[in-house]
Amino acid sequence: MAKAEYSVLGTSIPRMGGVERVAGAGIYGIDLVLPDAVRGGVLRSQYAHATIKSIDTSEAESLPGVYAVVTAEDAPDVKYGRTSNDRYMLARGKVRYMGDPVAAVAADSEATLKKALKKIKVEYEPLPVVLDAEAAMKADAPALHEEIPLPANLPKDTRVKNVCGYSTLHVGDPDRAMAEADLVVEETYETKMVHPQYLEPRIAATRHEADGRLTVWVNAQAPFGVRSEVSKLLKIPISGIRVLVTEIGGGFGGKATGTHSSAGLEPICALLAIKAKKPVMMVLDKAEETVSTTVRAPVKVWIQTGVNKDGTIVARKAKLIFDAGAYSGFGALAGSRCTQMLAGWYRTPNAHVDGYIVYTNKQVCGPVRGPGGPQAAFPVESHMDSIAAKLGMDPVEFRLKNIPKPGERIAGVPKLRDVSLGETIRVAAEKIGWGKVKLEKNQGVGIATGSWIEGSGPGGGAVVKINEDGTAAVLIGKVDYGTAPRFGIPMIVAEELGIPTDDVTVLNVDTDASPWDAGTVGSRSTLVAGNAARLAAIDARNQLLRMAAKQLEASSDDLEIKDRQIRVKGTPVKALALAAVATAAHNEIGEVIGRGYFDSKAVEAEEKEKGSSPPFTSHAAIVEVDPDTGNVKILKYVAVHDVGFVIHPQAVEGQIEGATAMSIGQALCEQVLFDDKGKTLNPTFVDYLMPTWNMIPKIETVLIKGYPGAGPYGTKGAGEIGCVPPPAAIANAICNAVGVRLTSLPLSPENVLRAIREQKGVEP
Amino acid sequence: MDYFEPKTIREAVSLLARYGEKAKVIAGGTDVLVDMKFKEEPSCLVNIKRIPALSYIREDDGFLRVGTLTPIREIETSSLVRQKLPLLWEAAHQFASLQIRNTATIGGNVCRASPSGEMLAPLLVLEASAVARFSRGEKKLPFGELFLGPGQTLLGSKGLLTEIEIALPPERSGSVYLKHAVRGAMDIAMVGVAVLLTPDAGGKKAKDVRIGLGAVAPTPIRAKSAEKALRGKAMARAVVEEAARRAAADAKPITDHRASAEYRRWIVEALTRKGLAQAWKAATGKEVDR
Repeated sequence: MAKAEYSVLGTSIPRMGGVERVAGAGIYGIDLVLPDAVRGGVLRSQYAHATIKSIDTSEAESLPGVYAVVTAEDAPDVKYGRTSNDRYMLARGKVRYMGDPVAAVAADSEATLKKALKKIKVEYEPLPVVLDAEAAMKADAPALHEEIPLPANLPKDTRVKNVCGYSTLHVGDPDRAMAEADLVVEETYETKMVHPQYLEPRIAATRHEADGRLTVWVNAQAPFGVRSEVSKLLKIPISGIRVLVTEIGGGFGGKATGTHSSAGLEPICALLAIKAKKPVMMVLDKAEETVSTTVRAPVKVWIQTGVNKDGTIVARKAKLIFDAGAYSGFGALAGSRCTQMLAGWYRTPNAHVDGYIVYTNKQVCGPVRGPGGPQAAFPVESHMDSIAAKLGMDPVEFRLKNIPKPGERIAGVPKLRDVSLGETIRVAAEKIGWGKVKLEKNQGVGIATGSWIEGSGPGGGAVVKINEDGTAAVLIGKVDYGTAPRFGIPMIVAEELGIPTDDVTVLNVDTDASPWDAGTVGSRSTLVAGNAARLAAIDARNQLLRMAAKQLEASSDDLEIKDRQIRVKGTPVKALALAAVATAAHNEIGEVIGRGYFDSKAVEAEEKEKGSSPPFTSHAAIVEVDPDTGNVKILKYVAVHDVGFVIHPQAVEGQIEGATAMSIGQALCEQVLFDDKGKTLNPTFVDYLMPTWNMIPKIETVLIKGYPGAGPYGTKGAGEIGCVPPPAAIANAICNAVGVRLTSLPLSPENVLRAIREQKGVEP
Repeated sequence: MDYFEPKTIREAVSLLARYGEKAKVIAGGTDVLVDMKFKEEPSCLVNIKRIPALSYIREDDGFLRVGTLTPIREIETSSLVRQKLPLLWEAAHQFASLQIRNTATIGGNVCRASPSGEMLAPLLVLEASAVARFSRGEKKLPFGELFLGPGQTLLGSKGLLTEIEIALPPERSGSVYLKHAVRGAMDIAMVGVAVLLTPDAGGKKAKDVRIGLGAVAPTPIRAKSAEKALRGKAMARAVVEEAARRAAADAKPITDHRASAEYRRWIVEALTRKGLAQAWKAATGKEVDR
């Protein structure tokens, strides 16, 4: 790791744009005002599974104030999908969940819009509904996508149905190792569907410009994904579409995968704008958002582990049933990650995991913060405590016994460079007072660990332009929703250019001007845009130094930029104002433009050779369980993380605390509930219970140092991993408190009390 | 939609007489406006917020009188309520969020007649009366008879609630309101239990016991068989536990997305047990005998 002799890096500057956000300035998508715009809205399926016999839009169309009504008939016959093209922007012939877009309207007001949507007559023929992924795999289940073949990599003779993805992992000889193990522990676990519930509603606005191009405003995490999908679905060339990103009020992966996550909102909006010949603005309301957009998928897990008497893990087998929802969405990718993680992040020489990603008639899986992570860590880390209990071993000691060593492999990481897992466990145990803290009756302590992916993936670029006053404008493809673009990126550019962070402006994404990017996802903002922006700033700096070298009669190698001055190192009197050099550049090359990129393949090659250093974490909690109500109160919570080098400590702590709080929500109360017809029972915030501040403990975050990652200066991704351990940490603490192992989320008062009563043998 | 802002009770009552079922009365609007947005717009809205002098808390010869337009926050911050009717204070204090408490009125909470309405079980055990104006005159409706079902009261479509009249409970009584919700605060009650307990002169026996249950039946209800099991009995643990079991049996909860009926009964039992012990301690300073 580079030495900590930076001027800006490692400090916590105020968040750029923070004041506007706190003061309620109208900066978000919903605040957008387009002159002459009309309102767009979507008619959604009222059946979870049905054939569409006919759609009659004539009454809606004849309503005064209605500018356009569109159905699948108005759009090209093109499907979209990430791993499988299985979805239309507007349902064609069939609907597969209660939220599937069927038709859309553009009207002069919200009231006319509502009226018009009611006047569209859709004749459905209901089909059998399947809501449970395990049931959907069985032969007698209704087929959701007859035309989609089963995954090609499914083992031969696998008799399954509705499977849209299969992922597997095999190491060593798990059958034999399991048979020879001293002790085999086997359990099943379940997690429920949760919605990312960002506060800012999703919007889309489109204007068909005079030159024939489309301008699309979105509050999406992947504007280039939106551009390519709108292009594909409407058969408009990429060059004919410009996507502009508004400020984003939370996304958590829910606004991530192009048009998937928004159930086709952007292409529908574009279709309406073209037909209406008017700009169209669409805003989803909270209930519509919950029923139609992407979610964290529910899973069922069977997990089995063989250990020796001394606590050494010798084998792991697991089976995952991952509920993708009505379309493949991000399911196969999140499900695959979940499959890998079920092998754990401990030394496990023999393992076999099967992951089935399955269609059901429900909301579609998206890449919600740490996709697949909490769903894997809840079983894996609860199971670790169950094994320790059977062995009569302390859970911390058992985990420490199985830490992988540098050079070894864990699932998803062929070769480890260095391993911070053990240190995070030791620090978390110490901070929570493991074995020392005095627990009252019904109080308990628990620990759980986690890991997350790091390194290779799509590349990305950055451009740093030096204005004539020596300030810098930065173009990147990552959007700001509380992550690097207005924390780390300006700091990196300021550091490399020797200017204050206030002199750096990071532009919001405009696909006409910004470098292409795969999307602000996967804890990759600093890794991709940070590395690229650093190289771009260095490129700009080198150009400036070369120009100044002539005037200062020095080699550019001997020059540095400090405090807006270009000066000879060690001889500060020999200096030129950065602004003067930047202005003078106009007569030579015009503007100084630095360019940099994150070379994914180079990182991959280096990791292949030297190994990689994934981030690890351990969370520990003390809880108190009310034996009368089943209510769980978290009394103390410690989150220990290795995120490599830390550019902005407060931002990193904020990400970790936010992710932890989000995951505590999933652990204690959140879930999307359905009736047997597939109707969401709790679409609004009155009924969909997210934790309020009184449920969230003070989260004590500890960042351990000394394990550099692949990001600039040795950073690692920090945005998602905090979501991984909380459900298991809390479940383990509950088990320690009242002796009950909960195997299904949420750990709600009713579920906890039921488990306590069942254990006591109380008659219900 | 027809919209009216009557300036007098008489004017409001005549509007209700004219529009009947079509009219909706609005005061704080914390429920009505949400319904208008997500459900149906009424064809007539009668805003009674402009009628003067309907927001007050007054002590009056053994009674506390609370005007129908009194915001919940006024009740929560009233030293008179805190001193004389700690049970009502407790319910006001646990009511939704501060923002809602500032806006919502006691009259609105009563007329909404939600089974989980925070003020209702406490008012039921306080044996309060609803003072209502009809076009033919005033009526006093005891809370024990007021509620007919969710959203349904004896006021019907033509009566206007003007005041809540609460007889002050005996000085040596003890009371408590316990609410159970997943989130604790900012959440609709899964179960609410109000207890008002008056010990006998010796401080050994329960002279009068009233237990009100919220969110476990179509209306807030009294746990009559539980009350009966305690009346006149020495407050021993076994008696309290038996009463709590009876309260669970008195409840008629449903299973919905918030909780199962079974769980609601478990909570009624737990909160009744806890509530009785706390009320007894508040009244006598003593724990329930082991």
